[in-house]
Amino acid sequence: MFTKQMENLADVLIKSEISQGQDKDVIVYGLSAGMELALNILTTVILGVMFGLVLESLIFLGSFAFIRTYAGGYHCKKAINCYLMSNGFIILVLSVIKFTPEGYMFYLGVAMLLIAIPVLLKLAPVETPSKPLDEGEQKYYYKKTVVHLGIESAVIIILFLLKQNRFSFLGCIGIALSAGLAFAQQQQKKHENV
Amino acid sequence: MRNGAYKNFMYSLGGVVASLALMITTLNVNTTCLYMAHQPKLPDSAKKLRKF
Repeated sequence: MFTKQMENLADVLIKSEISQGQDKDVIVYGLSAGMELALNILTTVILGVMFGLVLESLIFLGSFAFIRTYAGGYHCKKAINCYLMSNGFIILVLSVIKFTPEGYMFYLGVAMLLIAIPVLLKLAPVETPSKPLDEGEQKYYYKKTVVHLGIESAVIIILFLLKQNRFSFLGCIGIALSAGLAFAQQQQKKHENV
Repeated sequence: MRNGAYKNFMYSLGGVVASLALMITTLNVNTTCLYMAHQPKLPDSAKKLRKF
């Protein structure tokens, strides 16, 4: 999204000899990805403010990213589509949190986990055309996904026991969305191979 | 004097920006993807940042 501007900035950093000897490609990649990440996080916080659910938006973001970073999953081909889709999901999640009665959250959360955890254990990690994974990476990311799923599930159970249904439900949605996106990418890969 | 301080500040800021860029590329090399942000193809030169 910001590649052209970031190339100019990388040129300045390299010319001033403050790029720590790194290649221009590495700097440009980091700058563009960082800008997109910062924009996504900022938009999530703004949406949280608009819904009056800032803490919830940050907890969802953390719970989703915790699994997604190792399980992988669907990515749009264009940055702008990825941005719009991400924020569409945030709006959807915040709406669900706002309008779901707390009494139903436990049952809905458990149902989500019962579907999402087996899906993730079966599919993760899911590669994308822009990030193909070799055998070593597949094994490493699978182990990481299992460990992260274990940690997040334990936190969710503790939160349910402490009657913090809203926060544990957010964790369940984060895991379910990660599983959904992993499944979507797997289906797309199958479709492309046919 | 003021000009020198400004230059030093900009130099330090540039260093922070370059370090952040390197950190984010390293993070991306060592994970399948970052949050929901778009994921362009990693440059070949980034593969040396792999930590495992």
